[in-house]
Amino acid sequence: MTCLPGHTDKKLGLAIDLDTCVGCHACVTACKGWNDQGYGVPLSDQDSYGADPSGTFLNRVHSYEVQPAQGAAQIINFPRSCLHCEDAPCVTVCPTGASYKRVEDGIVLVNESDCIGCGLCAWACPYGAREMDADAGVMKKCTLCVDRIYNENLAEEDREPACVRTCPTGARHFGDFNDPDSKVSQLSAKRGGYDLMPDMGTKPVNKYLPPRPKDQRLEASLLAPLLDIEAKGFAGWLDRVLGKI
Amino acid sequence: MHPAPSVIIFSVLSGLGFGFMAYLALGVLPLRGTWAFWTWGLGYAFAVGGLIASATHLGNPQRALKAFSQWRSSWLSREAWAAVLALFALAPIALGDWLGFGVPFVWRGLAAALALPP
Repeated sequence: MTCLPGHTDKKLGLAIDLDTCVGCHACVTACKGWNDQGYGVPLSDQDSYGADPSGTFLNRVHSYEVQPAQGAAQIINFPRSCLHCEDAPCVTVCPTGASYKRVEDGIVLVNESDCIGCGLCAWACPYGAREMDADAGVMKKCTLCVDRIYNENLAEEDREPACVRTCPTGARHFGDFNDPDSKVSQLSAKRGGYDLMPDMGTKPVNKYLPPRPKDQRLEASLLAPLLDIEAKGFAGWLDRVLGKI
Repeated sequence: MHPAPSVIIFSVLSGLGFGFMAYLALGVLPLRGTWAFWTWGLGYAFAVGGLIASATHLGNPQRALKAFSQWRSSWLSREAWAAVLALFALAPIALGDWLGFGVPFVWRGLAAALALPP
């Protein structure tokens, strides 16, 4: 049923730190690597080695050059994946019941055996988080690695989404936003985590942590105060004598 | 947004067909006999042709009937129901115009209203 649950027990999601993300695409690769081989159909590629390669990804990183009002231009690396919205428009538009939001943890998933590949959910999502698999003709989206986070065959430190596990700068954090004491809730509160496009009314669970303000470059040299020092006493005499040579 | 060509064909043809048939259902044109047959036939051809085109853009058209299941939440599902119901509701009016028997005006209005949402 594609009606949204009124309330979910947990609100699992990601806190993504735009300050520490260096845009290395390790999360993109790890996501594709893991999700190619387990949950649902593999993420196919088309024309992989040809002139116009394309493929299905659940997570992409876009990099932007931003010019702040003051100071130097900044690069913002912006990882994008499903935000597992509380009011997910992609779920309610689904005509077949393939899309659903789980009551227990709020993860938005697609039941691929019901999906007819009409693509309406991808049109409804304002974040462009869903991608149609061109080979299988079914909609693919981030599962928050639902086959990792509860997987008791994995070591405990591996029971988090592949993108979070692999991030070399620790820019991605996974946890329950329903629990105010969780790591992600604390981090989001401390760093001013914000929703993407809140005006769309989707109430995204994932939070983005804004880049920290950059230090201002000093105009004068740090050594400037030393320029005015005048040597006195023995040092002053030595300075004068040596200066005459 | 890059809609598939079949989606564009669907929205143009079905919109044209259902709109035309809603107009015919209200009895605006005085249709009789063979003339009625071909006019209604044109409306049905547009509407059904559009619906068939819409199925061709699906990744898995063999499961298309599942699209009728989520009428509680999905407008696409409601639209599918309205299209099918309208095609059936319009049929007696089309037959009546062609073969020359009367259909109550209430039915005509109802069928026209059903034909408009798709």
